[in-house]
Amino acid sequence: MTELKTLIRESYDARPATDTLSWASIQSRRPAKSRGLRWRLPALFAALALVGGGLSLSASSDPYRLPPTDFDVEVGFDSASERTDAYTLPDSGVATPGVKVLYNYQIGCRLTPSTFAASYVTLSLSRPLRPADKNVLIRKCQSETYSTEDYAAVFLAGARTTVGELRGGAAGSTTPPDAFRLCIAQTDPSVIWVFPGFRGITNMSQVCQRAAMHPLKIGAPSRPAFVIADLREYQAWLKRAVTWRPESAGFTRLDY
Amino acid sequence: MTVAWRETLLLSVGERGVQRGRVVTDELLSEISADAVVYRLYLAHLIEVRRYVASLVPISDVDDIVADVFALALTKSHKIPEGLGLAWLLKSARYISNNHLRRQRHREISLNDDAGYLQFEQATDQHGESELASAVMSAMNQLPPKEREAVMLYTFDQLDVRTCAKIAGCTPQAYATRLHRGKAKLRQLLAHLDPSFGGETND
Repeated sequence: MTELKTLIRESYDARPATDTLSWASIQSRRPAKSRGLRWRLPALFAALALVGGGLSLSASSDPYRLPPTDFDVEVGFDSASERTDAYTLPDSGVATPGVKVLYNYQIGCRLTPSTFAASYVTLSLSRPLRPADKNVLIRKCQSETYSTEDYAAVFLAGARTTVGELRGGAAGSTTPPDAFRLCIAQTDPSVIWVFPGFRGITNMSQVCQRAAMHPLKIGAPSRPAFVIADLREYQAWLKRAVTWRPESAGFTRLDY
Repeated sequence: MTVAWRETLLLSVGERGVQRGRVVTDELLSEISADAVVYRLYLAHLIEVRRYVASLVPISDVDDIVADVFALALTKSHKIPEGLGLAWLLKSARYISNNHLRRQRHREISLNDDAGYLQFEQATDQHGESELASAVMSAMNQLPPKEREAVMLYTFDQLDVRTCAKIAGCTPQAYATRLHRGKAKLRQLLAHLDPSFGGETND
């Protein structure tokens, strides 16, 4: 027999989503006092991804020229994680008390200049890192790229993926990282950087295509999308991303 | 955060239409972080909030209320307790739903009719949803509102009885009583779908 609560859940949750529930629509309902952010947030997410990817105005002289693709796929850093110590960022979405988020990132397709359809991924720590852990991380950071599965057995409580809005809430595929690299700043050991790697990132491009998304046209200088075929190429891209932030000066272990 | 980073950010955002010359302050970035918190809640709990609101207001009003709940969260993100995001959202949903119903009553619109449900039926027919879902919704709609709410809160595994009672605005004992009665009535109403619902179960 179907459990009563399961039956109720399935009955109510089967209703199709409406445009009213899209994130953009919700932001538009924000009271006028702070309405200025409603379109700025996705724009800033996009900007962070843009700047983080080194796809700036100087893209034409970029030594790490990225391959052009048909679809605009970017990897960006969540703004909250980007500007704060992600290790201490609480995640209300994690049910386990005391679990802290290690890192959040977004990967997605741009629908319009202000709409960023994202797959939201959270890696969470099962326990606070101890000094000994950090030494291990620093040492390994120099030479290894971890597989998510291997690493989860040591430090992580779990990796969650949630697909965000793809054309009004239609579900798409999730894209968990195939690998990631942890580094700790020499200048501040409490700051941990996690660099997810996506060998399968091209799948996200396919998600975009299935969602009938189109190449971004914003009249900006040529800004190639980024599809990772080679992890080393991605790491080089990340290296450039961290050099963009002056705070990351201590991350000298990223010399691949 | 250094000035250099701010300038870079400003330049990039400016390309996308943000007013050039506006200083990107820590306060502004703090607000953006708050939005990110609510966005995470949105991704994690949209379905649950929508389900709960559907037990409080007619189906036709549900999505509107849910959108209002998350819009409220955007303005009050600093008040959302850590680790209690879902409970906060549900409690807020209850307030907003009650206000909505109060306004509706002032307009002398009966909220006990089947207008919302019928609209849902039409929607589900269009999308080929199962008759079972319609039957369950119909049975739920026949429960008294408080018992319907209690039964709906019972579907959230992550909430304990005490939290459910707080959301419903009653004592844990009162919540347990409502839940017990609601489940019993619902089983009776659903017995024609599956005879085993008519008997005692452990769920």
